[in-house]
Amino acid sequence: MSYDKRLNELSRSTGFPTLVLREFAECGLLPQRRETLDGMGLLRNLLERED
Amino acid sequence: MSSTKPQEEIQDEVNSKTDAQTAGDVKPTEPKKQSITTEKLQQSEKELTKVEELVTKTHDRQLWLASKTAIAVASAFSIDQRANPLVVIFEGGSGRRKSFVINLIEPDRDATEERLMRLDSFTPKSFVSHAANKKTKELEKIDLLPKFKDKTLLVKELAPIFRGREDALRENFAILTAVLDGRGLLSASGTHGTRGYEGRYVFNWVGGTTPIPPETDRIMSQLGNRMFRYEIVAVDHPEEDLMEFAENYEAKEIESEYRTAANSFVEEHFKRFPVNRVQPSEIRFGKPQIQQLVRCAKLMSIGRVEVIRTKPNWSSEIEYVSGIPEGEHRVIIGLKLLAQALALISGRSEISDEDLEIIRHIAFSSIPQNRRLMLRALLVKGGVLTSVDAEKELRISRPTARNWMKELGATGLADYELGHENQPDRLTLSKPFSWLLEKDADQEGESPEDDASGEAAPIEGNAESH
Repeated sequence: MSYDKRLNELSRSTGFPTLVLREFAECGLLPQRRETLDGMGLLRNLLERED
Repeated sequence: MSSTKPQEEIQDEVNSKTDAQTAGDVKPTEPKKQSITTEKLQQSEKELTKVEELVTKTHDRQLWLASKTAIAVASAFSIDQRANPLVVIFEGGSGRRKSFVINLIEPDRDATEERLMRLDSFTPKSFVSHAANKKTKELEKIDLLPKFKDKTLLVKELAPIFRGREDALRENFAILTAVLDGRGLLSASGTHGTRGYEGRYVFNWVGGTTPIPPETDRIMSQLGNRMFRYEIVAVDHPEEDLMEFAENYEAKEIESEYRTAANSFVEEHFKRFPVNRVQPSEIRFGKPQIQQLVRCAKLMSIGRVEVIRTKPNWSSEIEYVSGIPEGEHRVIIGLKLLAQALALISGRSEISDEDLEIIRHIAFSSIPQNRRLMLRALLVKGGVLTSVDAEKELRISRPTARNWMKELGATGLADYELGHENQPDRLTLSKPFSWLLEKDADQEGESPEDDASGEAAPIEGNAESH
């Protein structure tokens, strides 16, 4: 699956617009584990920021 | 319990716009005709792009989409047949630039003051005042409700309204719920008797707040939720971007330049599309888009239903019981209006996926925080999540994970299954919401090998950020 398609998929499961997810990936908030976009890592990061 | 309104009653609210014309302040309008032209749309697109280019020079795309949403709320008055106020509250921790979004559309000239109104703090009681030390005649000058009519209220910090003692919160939200029906407000006091405003009093509202506490969520869902929320999260920017920002950012000049550009957009927008001149049918939805909108409305109304936490005498387990969800019709009307306003300001007479991505974000954002996080975790895990996964992946304690799972299960968005013996508790996405995991048609049938082709794909369209 291409990067853009993964991004679309993640947008559907998190509600964040793809543009925003792309930006999260650029700044490390959305980790790219094993060359994939790690949605759970994003949620963990979001949770840590709320604490 | 949530208050719900049948569709007929909502239709009455739409129709009441006509009644309100006899109430005084709506002038008889000319016969309605097609108001959208290609030329006007092109002009809109060009002018909004100008604001976008300016904002994204120093701010991230997340903030731009939030700003665009705020501009859409302010511009929505062009669309006719608005039944209820459109309210979008930007929610995020301190320092997330929520106030940037609101400052951007703060009026800086007479023309935009007709449509935008800044208030730094207010209490819901001031919609219709009953101040004991004022004569009834003087109160008319104080009342806020008539001043807001057909304007967008801008309030940077709403935290005082969303936090406080339960009785004060209840009082505030009871008033807000009534006012946000768009049909005025009548209230009574021993000093001034019954006074207020009847008829159509529709205003829009853009505000900012730090995360809303669960207790406030509960009260809002009991009294009838009328607000949409928009989550803004903190982003860490690369050091070099921050250095460039530190060197070049001149807050006063730049922010005032942005504000001027946004005000110019709003001013020109209402010249192109005066209040109530665009017929809703002029901004079209395709069938798949209207389906997405309806699904988002359902997600929001079920996701923010009141959930009562109880501890029955016969059990050591805490139980979560759902109230009655709000009717979807009002949510659909609000989301549809916002999607149409987003399309209109972007220079389109058709709804696009870009508009719907914002609508979807609002639907997720409007779900109370803990449920939102658990729902996202469930979806990211493909629709099945165990308490072990939740504990490990989200780094929360097992009891917290279980409580959040139970709460989400109570809403009906997911099915919760209590673990037994060595089995962990389990959360499964409920059938009516399985569409949340549906793939696009072009993704279906992809072979696993396709995965390899896209790995480590470079990130294109590098968004500028500060």
